[in-house]
Amino acid sequence: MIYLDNAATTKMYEECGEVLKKYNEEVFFNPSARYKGALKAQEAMNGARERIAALLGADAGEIYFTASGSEADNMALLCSLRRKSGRVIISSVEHSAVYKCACELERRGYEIIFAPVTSCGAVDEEAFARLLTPDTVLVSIMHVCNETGAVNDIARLAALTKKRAPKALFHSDGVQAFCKVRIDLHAAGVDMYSVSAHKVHGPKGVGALYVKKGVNLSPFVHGGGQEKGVRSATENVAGICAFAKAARLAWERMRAGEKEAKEEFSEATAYLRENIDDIVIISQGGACVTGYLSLAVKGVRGEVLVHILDDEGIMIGTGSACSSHSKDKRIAQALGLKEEYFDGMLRLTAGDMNEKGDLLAACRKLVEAIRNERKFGAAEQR
Amino acid sequence: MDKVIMLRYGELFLKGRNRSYFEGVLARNIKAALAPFECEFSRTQNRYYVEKYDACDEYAIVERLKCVFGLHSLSVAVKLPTELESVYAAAIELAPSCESTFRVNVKRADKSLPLNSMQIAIEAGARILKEKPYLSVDLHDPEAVVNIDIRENGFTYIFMGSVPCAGGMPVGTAGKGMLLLSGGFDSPVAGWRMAKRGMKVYAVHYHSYPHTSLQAKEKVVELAKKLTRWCGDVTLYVVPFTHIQEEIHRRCNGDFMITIMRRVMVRIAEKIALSEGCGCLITGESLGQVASQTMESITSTEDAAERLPIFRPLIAMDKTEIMEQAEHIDTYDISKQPFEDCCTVFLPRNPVIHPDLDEARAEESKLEGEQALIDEAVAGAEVLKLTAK
Repeated sequence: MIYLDNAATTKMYEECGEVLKKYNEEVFFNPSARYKGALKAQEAMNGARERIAALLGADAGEIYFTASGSEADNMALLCSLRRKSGRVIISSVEHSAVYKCACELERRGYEIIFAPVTSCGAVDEEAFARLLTPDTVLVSIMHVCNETGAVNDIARLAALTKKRAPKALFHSDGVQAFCKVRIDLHAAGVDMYSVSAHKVHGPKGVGALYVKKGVNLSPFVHGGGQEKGVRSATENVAGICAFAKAARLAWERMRAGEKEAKEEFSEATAYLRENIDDIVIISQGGACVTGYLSLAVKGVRGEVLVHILDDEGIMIGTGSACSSHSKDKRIAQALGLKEEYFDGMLRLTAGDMNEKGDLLAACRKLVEAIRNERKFGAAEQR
Repeated sequence: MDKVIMLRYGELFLKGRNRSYFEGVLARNIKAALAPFECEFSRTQNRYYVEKYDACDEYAIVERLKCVFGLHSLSVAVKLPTELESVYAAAIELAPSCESTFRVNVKRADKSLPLNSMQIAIEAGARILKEKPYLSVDLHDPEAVVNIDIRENGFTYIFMGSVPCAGGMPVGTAGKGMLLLSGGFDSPVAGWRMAKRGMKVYAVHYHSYPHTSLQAKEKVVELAKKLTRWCGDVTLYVVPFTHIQEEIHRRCNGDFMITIMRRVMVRIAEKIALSEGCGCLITGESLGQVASQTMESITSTEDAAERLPIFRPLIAMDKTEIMEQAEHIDTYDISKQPFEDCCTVFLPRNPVIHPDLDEARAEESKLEGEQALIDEAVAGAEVLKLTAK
């Protein structure tokens, strides 16, 4: 089996399983309780908070645990605004969690502006700068694009924001960047930053939002006052501790194989270009995070190719535009793809557990599948 | 005081000398619906009873029984030995506990009691009023009716109102039919309507993996499982259709793609239907709903069935009516999931909307080795025996 859909989710590290077991079976106590065992749970959670904060260049007190990256995005966009109106800027390729929150803000009376992106999905900084107005209240630009792997220089974008729109908060969805791209949030001047455990070989159901000291959020979940009253609910101590464990390991391990991964990416893209006509390689080596290969082919549906490779034991992802769950073409359009490529978007994303050669092996099968489908000519009829 | 569910059946009365046959099938279907639960099922004249069940299962049992075709209505009753003082006490307990109007109905099959029906009703009503003074009597249009049913077997059943059931005829009393089940809204409703007339439903689905997704197939399996609540066990044939589609695409005029596909689907369905002893095919076609459901298209499809009739229970229904029924039978939320089915693969740009029958036949004849393709598809079918859980 070759799994190349790590942007969708990752396989959990075995070490996290041990942590989960310990904090579900031994130290299972509610950290708010008053007995010694509860204190242990509390301490473990504090330790996890510190470790995650350290990886982000933040203080422990600035980390709010959530149940997912999407929840963190929701908290950031829906709970941070004090003004009742103003401009909200998001990039045109944001994840649905940010995009749908922006739609909700529009319904509440804010003006939503989409920042254009380059063909590989990075925000066009000049165009972005022109969108910033003094009445801008919030900016949300993803650190790494979940569709293409494009990396945005969020320190520079945050600085631009603070200069031209001093009252605006700057949020970044860091779900795909965490543990892959080094970030120092204090230095970068970012106000809020979302991360998720299951994208870094941690368990599902855990995420976190960094909120810079001094930025106040209104409660997202009302209740017993956990997470400083912003996100009440008994803390998922086991998941949080496993998240911290996974993040630490991922940070160490992913960097180790980076050079080889870059070489394989270049080889794979060259192979695809040589062997397939009418293909657009969306992910660009220098501009995108290592391990991401996003592409689009003309005349063959991405979903069909996913099925064919699946039968060969290779799991890859479709672009969101050709997902059968969504008729939403906004990402493909934002990337400037021609319409005949919309349905043919694919995303191959390696993770820490991939072997050298996985990406190339997948590309070979992909070439074979695309050729067969094109030979059959089904697509032209569609 | 035991709780008991009383079941009544309706249309079966019309069936004269066949009545015992219909009753037998209905009893068998009720027992099958009750299989997941620990309970006792009994039959007396015109009534069935379910008793000795766990109180926690009551809601689930009632929900299951509401889906058994042939049942007209049911009531959850309290059963106790016929002794008037305890009957009155139970009636008081069952009567509404907040301000409302009520009446008491008494049926008395046991004539050995010292009071007649009217007298018992008056006495029960008086006692209820005394204990629950916020209630008032309305004999003509009451908000609640306390029913006291005194049977000859020494027991009395007390219940409030009744729950309507599915009606129709017991599944299995009107032969077997093969339903062409897609992932859409219409075909599950079509199968449900035929089952309501007593037909035992089998289903066939065509899938075009890898051109359609595994989720598209799972969706159809979920739909068929939903039908089992109403239809009892359903055997679903999932037929691989990709090769046939490729061959049609390769050999026939592209504009006839859908017409030929549907003709081949009918041929496959008929072959499987005959092997299962089915007497008809069932489709969810509704006149004019889509290009493949014009009168000419339907004529062309009909022509492919050589031995069996095709029943189209939705032929004159509006889409909105079909959707309402889909909601009623709880298939709506599954059908609306956006997974493509095989009919959306290889769609021509200009499909023939009013195919000429002779042309359709001529186009189909270009499909070399059609019978072998059909045999291959049938042999490759995955057969799923789905049981109501």
